[in-house]
Amino acid sequence: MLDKKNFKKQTDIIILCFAVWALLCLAMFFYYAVIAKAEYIKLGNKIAIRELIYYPERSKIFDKNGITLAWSEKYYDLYYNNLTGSPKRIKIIYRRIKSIFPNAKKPTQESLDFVMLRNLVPKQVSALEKFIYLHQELQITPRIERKVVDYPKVRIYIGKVKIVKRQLVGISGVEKLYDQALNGTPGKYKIMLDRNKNWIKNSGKLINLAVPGKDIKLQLTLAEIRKGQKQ
Amino acid sequence: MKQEQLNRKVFNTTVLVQSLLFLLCIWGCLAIYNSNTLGASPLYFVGRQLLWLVMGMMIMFLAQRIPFSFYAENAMTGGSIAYISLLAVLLWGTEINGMRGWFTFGWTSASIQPSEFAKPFFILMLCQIVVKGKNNFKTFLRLSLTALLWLIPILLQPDAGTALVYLLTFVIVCVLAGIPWKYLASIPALLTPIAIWVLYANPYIIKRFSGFWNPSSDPLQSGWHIRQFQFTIARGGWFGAKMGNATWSNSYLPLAHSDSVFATISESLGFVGTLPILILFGVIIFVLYRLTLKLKSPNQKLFIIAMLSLITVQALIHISVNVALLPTTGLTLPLLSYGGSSLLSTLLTFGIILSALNFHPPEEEHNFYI
Repeated sequence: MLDKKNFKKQTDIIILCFAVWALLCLAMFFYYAVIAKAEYIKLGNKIAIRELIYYPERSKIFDKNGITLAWSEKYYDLYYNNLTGSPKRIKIIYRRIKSIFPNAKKPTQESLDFVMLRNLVPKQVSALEKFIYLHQELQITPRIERKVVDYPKVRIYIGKVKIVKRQLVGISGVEKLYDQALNGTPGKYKIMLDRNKNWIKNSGKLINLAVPGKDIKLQLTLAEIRKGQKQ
Repeated sequence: MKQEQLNRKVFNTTVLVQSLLFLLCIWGCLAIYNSNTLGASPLYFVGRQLLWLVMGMMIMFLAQRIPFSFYAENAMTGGSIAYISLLAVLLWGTEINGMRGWFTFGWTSASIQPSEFAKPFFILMLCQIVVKGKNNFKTFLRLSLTALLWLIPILLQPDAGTALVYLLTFVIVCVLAGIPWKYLASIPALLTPIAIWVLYANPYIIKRFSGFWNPSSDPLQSGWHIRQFQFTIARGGWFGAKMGNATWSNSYLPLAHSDSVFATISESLGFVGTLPILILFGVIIFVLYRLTLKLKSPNQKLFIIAMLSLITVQALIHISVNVALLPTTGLTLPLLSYGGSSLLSTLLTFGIILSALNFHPPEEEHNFYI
């Protein structure tokens, strides 16, 4: 029952419909790729680009003879963020981590942030990279600790620090007195995050370089501080 | 046109089409690689796709060597097997992305999507009905009933995107068959209760529509996918972010290597770099269309145009979704998207089209179905 006479006409109608449809697609494509490009890139950047501040390492404090009295050390810990609260997920991820790091601790279902491994060395961080990509619950977080020579009087003299907005801030003693000089000026950089809020490789762009603080050399020796003399 | 001239033209077109198809598939592999450059195993998907491509090309060469009369005579048998597989997948299929549409083979991690392989057989059956039909009303009724029977298992998966492709192809076959417009006008009325049932059973479709109309109202849920298409294409601009730098496709675009492959290509190659792909698609369709009209057998003409229409419809829906012209549907871009079933079935379809071109009957013998 094929209508042979009108077949070409009907085919032409269909081809014409396809051509119109294709042109509409092309117009939309051109609109997003060229005309409205800037607007949509801006909207996208809102969800993906983060401006981060990074702090230079807090400088050291030396005694009169150049002996280091206080310094900073950076450590890396592996955290388990309990996003799903699923015991099955905890079990699977823990088993995988434990196969490489036998000393890893098993996350509890109740805790939201659980430290599975502390003080990772660079080799361990590289070994964990694949797991972190596969399991968004895992995160390596840096931790900075301020160390002071282990004499009680020196500790009191040098003073204490606390972390305020991811930066060490002196709250007593020499640490407080020379706080600004020790900290320096923070830097800024832009990064791109993926949908799981992980940092996309090679997406970082520096805006301002951080200026490290200055090391402080005290006018007292370690022995004098231990005796309780004041500067 | 003399028979000899026609044969030479068919041969030249066959070689041209095969080369262009291979080129498009390789382009697809590059796009798939590009969508996973930041992943843990960037070569995983592209490696598998290359394997499918080798198999697909073999299937196409084999399919085009089988006389078209074989497909025509066995249309009902092939169609029945394909239909049974559509029913079987509902019972024993595996659910992926909320859709029970695949048979998986545990030991190989490979999966087959019957609704992809059923496409050429669906068209063969519709063409067979048209060819054997004696009056318009009965033919239209048979075509409608067949289309409805095929749509039900696909909608039950639920795979609204593929169902839309089947539906539009059915309409196109009706138009090509010369079914009067008064009958065609009844299709929307016939579809209304089905559409209501589909929307009632799958509320996610309504959400996709609302996300499509106003992506800003729910940018993290229903509007997410549409928004990501817009952001990805915008990042491509005129000339793209270059191969291997499709950051947005890698990080935000859902299913960047399959259902969103057009947007991935746009980000990598930009507007200027993507146009040749569209032109290549157009050239394949146009060359085959022009040659088809020179054939004498109306049956083969009908079959080839219907097959080409199915591929074009699927490609246009995929591109429309990717350029935010239509709400999100899970449809692949034929030849370019990742997926063994999609690639193999498309190349099989082209194999049958080339067979229909190569095995055209002598001028006087027009209808060999009956």
